[in-house]
Amino acid sequence: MIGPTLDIYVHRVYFFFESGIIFYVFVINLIYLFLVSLGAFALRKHHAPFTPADRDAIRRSPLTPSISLIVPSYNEEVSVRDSVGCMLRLDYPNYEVIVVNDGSKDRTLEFLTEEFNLFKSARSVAGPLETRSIRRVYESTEPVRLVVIDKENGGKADSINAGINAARCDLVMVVDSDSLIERDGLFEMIKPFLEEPERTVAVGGTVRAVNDCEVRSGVVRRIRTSKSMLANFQSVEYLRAFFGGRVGFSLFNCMLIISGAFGIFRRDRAIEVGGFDHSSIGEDMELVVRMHHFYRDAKRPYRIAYVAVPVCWTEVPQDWKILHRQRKRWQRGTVDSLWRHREMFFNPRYGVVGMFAFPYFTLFEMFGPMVETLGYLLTVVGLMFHIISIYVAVLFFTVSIAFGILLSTSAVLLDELTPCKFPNWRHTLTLFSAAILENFGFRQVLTLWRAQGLWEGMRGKKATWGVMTRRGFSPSSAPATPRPQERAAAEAG
Amino acid sequence: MRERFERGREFLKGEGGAALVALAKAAALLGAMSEAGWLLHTRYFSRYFPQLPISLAWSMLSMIFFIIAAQLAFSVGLKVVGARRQKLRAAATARTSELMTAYLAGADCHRSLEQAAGNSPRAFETCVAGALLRLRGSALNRLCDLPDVMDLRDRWIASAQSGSEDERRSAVEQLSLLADPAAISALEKALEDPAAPVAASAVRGLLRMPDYGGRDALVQSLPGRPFLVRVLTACENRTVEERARPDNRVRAAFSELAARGPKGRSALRRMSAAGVAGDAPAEALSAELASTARGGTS
Repeated sequence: MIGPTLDIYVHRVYFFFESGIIFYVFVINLIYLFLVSLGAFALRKHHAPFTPADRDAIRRSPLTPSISLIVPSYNEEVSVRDSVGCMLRLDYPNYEVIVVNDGSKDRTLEFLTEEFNLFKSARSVAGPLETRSIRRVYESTEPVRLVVIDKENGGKADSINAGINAARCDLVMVVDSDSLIERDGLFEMIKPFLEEPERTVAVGGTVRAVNDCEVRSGVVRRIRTSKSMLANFQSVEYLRAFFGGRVGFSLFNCMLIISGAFGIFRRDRAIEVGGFDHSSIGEDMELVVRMHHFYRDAKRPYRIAYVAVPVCWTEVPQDWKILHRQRKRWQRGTVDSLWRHREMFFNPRYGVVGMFAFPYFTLFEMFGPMVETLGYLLTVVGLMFHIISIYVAVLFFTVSIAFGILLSTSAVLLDELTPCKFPNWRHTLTLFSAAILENFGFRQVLTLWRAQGLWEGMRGKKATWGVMTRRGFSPSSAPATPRPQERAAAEAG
Repeated sequence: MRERFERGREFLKGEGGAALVALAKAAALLGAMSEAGWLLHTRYFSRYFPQLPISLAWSMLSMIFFIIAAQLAFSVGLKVVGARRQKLRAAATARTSELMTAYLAGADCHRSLEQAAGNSPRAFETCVAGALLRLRGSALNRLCDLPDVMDLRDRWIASAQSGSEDERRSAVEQLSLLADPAAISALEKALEDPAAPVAASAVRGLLRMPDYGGRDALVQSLPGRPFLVRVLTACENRTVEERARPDNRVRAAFSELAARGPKGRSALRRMSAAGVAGDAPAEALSAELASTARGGTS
């Protein structure tokens, strides 16, 4: 008697969990599809770039806001010259570049000093945000507005805060030192600030993979797919995240992430909320969630916008170990940010952020990997104990994979609506293949890593940034400005 | 209640309305896809797979396969066709541009130009838009003598008041550059356009009109306009004299640069050669050199 009853109970419990997971997968895919469709309709309409005449007017206008570009840098000797050189050549009338050397152990500071003829400056960098002590401040003897702050190691958030303190402009833009910004990207980035100067507090841009693109003098000359499939998988992932997710979220002013590699903030508002948090591992997301929390609590109007057109090119990891570390860190950043502001979860006081964006991130972005892993385990268990047939298991697994493929290929299609699309149909085909292949293995590996990150985050294990090995920008990349020895040779010539 | 209603109206008037429209479109698209999937299930798969979940899974798979295939074909097709079209348009633009240059130089080729305009109107419009950016004085008048340009003007006047935001913006921008008094009323209507870049182009165009009577009233109305309009028109708003005179801060910065030594001076020479900030770099340079010659520090 006991045997069959127990068997029935096991079956019931199993199907309870299994149908729960199927429902979860259905809902998550539906939301993703909805966001991608929103992106399709909103991308063109809401992200039209300025015309050349408008840009010219902005260039000459005395009302154009000034921007301080803050470049936190730690052991970036491979790419810092190219990226800072690229930032100094941006097409914008009123900006300065502040590189914060966060106690690098390599030759980052030495390379910067050589490349840009730095001299010790008396510029005051004290400000309202607390940071580790500043060793020295340098400025360039060249007619460029470059400030280099050499400080004791305190992490990325600490470096950005030091940069915010030193900034003298209305807006501060945080850019990673391994990234390249499009030459006219700043015009588009300030657009939301010009449209709604009082309400807009932060704007995020699009980040894309630069691996194997043709880069010359710090400028991306030719967009192409990478030779490494791992980099292409990440390219597709970035497209999906930016064009699929952020366009949709920003439409309803509930975007919870502005990429740490490319975001712009109003300086006074960033200081008002306390700047970047040193203790957070996902400081970029944490600041944005804190802004939502702060302004919704204070019942003050605000807007956190996303612009799709300007692009920041960044080198994505081509090494599985580095990718593993990065994804674990991202997941822990998400866990940390959401946990700190858990008060907002399904809280109607926080409007669409509390009722949709925050629950979405908690249920699907934070716990998603765990549920997906559980789904795989349950399927294996079900097959082992003959609770489900192999036919049903394979069919449902295929449907879930097909949904993933559909989302990725839709993101690739959305890329066609932007000016930064791949120029050649062969690249489009490669990207489509990556969008299909990433669902067979890569996605599952990422799920496991994210689940690991979630577990570590929940246990409160201390996170570290680790070392990112840089390849530099393409073998064809030329130095930003002539190196000292080349300059001496040229002068002698 | 009234306050809430007002707030709702404000929300719908701004980005909120556009967001809701996008939301409705996305919902309609997903609805259409679901309907197609359900049709597949009821008409086809339910015959072969009596269990509902299995039949639904098959219909979902088929739908996804069709959509992905369509996306792939669309993407690649778009690229191939786009590249071909771009090549053809570039050739037509080059030909029209060549003819236009000859016409502006005084050659009697307006018939060939008219023919080129008839054959590829878009290339002709591109060439005229490019020419409007660069031409002034008699060359601009000669261009405006062409009947096709007048046709274009009429088309721009029509699309400045209707059409999508991109069309309105482009039309108003071209009308601003054309500086034709016939476009004044269209530009005045465009001042009230809900899209700030369109209104800004209209302001710029009207302020550039040599004989525009409402100039003072327009300048006075600028502080009440959206910030984006003010930013985009701030240069036009300044008087001609103000624009010709470089800012004192710019002069101070150049003097500082000149005092930095040979590197600063060579940078100023480069700027002067490139025409940055008019005569200001050259003035700072000569002041510094004069001071050095008098025995000052360099």
